[in-house]
Amino acid sequence: MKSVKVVVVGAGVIGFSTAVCIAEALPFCSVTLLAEKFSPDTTSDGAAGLLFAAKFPDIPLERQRRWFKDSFDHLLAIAQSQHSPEAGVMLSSGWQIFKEEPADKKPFWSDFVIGFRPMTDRELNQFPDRKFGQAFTTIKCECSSYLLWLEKRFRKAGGQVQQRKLNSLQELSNSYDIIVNCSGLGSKLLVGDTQVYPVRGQVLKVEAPWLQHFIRDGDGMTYIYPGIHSVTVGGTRQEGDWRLQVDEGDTKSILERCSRLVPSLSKAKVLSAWVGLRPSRRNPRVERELVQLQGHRVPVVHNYGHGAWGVTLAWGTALDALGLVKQCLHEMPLQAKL
Amino acid sequence: MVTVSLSSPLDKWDDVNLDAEDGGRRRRYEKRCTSHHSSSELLCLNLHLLHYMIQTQSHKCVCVLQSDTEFWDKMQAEWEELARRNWLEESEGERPNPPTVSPVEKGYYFNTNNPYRDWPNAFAEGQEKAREGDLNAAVLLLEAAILQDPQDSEAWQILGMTQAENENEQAAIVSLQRCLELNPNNLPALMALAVSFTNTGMQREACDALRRWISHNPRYKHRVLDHRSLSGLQDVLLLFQDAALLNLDCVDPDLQTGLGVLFNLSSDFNKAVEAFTAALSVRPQDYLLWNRLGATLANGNRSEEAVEAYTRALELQPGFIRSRYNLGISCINLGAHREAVSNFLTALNQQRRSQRCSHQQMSANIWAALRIAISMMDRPELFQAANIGDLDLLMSAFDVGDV
Repeated sequence: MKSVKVVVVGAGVIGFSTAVCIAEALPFCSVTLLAEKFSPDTTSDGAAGLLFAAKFPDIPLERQRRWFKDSFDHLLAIAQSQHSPEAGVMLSSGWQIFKEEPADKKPFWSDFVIGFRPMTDRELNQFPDRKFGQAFTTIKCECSSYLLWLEKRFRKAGGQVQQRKLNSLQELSNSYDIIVNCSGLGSKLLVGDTQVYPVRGQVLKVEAPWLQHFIRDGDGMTYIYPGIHSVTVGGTRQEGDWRLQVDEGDTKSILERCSRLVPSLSKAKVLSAWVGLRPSRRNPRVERELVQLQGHRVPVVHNYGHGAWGVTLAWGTALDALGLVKQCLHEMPLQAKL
Repeated sequence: MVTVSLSSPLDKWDDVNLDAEDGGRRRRYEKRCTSHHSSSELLCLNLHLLHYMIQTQSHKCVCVLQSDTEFWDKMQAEWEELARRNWLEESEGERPNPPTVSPVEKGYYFNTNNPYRDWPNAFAEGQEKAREGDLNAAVLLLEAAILQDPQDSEAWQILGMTQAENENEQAAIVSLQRCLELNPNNLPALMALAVSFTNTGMQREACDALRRWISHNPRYKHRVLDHRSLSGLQDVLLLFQDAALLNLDCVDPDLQTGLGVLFNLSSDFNKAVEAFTAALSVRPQDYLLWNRLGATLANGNRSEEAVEAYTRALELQPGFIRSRYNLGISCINLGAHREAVSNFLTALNQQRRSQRCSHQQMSANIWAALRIAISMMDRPELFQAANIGDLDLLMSAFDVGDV
């Protein structure tokens, strides 16, 4: 008996992760994933997908640690399995470098990645004006593969997928018992959230197979992430900028900044340029509420607003969202029989 | 994941019924019943036919009539078995487009291999078993009584009421409808049918049954004549409230039951509680009423009080499967998942016990509720057991003994 109908809105890494978690953990739910855009047209598709994180100001650190750890362990298991190439999940080692010593030298996620340590002087020497750095091995999760792999897994768990543009949650109220909102920036329109805003990011894919280590400048503006098929270099952080077109000025600036860190990049062939709008929010919204839709109260579980950390936190927050769906089920009393 | 649904035709009615609104399953069932057979099964039937033709050819006219009947009986049994198996096979696959079929099933599916098939005095014994709370034996005996005399409206009535107690709503509805076809003025059957329709969310049908109840009731029918055309929920509610005013000096528990059902239909649970409580003041030993009070309390978000009412019902009638199921539901709603599981397992075990052919009479919705409770406990290994219907494993995992 599939008695409870759940719809997950959004087909990015948050939407598919959440849909898979629900469909696999709650087989009595019939889960539909509904979205306007699917891979390769989602924001996740362009994300470099290297796992580390910044702290959100108002979410208990314990919860953020759990999000990170759950995601990391989940992806590490994939990276170490035969699924690795199909899922686009690999291990990646490298450095995060700083011009000034950061206040927090040991970030909250440092215990969860592999072999986290301060960089040695010899390692730092290759970056002349950098004073401090961290070396570690983490995961790189490439969503152009990973989303398709998740979709397959979702369908295998009995999930259904529907392409449709949604203008309002009202359109869903009569067809579903629980709505899970993973629409990212779409939540601005869909649930009228004024706190979610775009942070524009432009990246380039370049051909530089001689580069094997990731390098990220601590300010998050400049990074070089070698992947399975190419090297992703970036980037930009333009708050409130909705432009999806490639900006030639940005392209030039990215190549300049990256070549300063790794001179050989000036010899790399640029394969493509891509722009995505990070669905940013002061804190991601992973919570539930009851929404009045066409006369009845429908439980809505929100899971959006991860900003630059969608891939990093997807599985962890998906598990939280699953917990919230369970709570909704819990409060959705089964009917007693007279 | 393929959900293996272990169910008899009776169980499947519940599935059908739960999906009554989109009707998807119903159509699949009908489709499968009529046309969807694997080639080997068809082959088997064809061989049968061939065999039959050869037989009738060679024996010419010798006893054609008899073998004819035999063959068609066998054929019928095989088709039924096929329908049953197809039901079992289709788990939670794709849903076809919703058809426009009435959700009310017209046919009643009898248990096969009924050991009481030719039992003398089956009706009286069935009634007795129902009173004792041995619902499975009661169902089998009452089915036997009906197979012996399909026109026995009283047997249909008791069968319907017993099926409801045994948490098989769709079978209850079909039986009660058959009873009312044979005897349109059977008041207990009308009331029981109204309850079953209410449970399945069929408000219009429930109101209609209650309107028929009051307009055939010798105490009230004179007041109804001029209201004949009115059958909306509010109209019928007014009829019952007017009638209650006639009884200022005494309480009619049946009328109050009707009121309780109507208030449930309008989600006015507090008033429904008052009505059932009034009925109980006259019939404090009526376990059906205690269960109805409990269910009303539960549906009105008063689960703690509901548990007390169910407990009372189960003290009076330990074999009352529906009330045990409801108790489990309230446990889920109170977050007591372990207790919920234990109640569902007890109910399933009771349904299984009196009939060793295992899953025949277990209710699909009790299994479904059990799966929900277990999934909330985060015990994936046990969830699998619930999925494949391994009652023994679950009973030992949860330390549920035979009661």
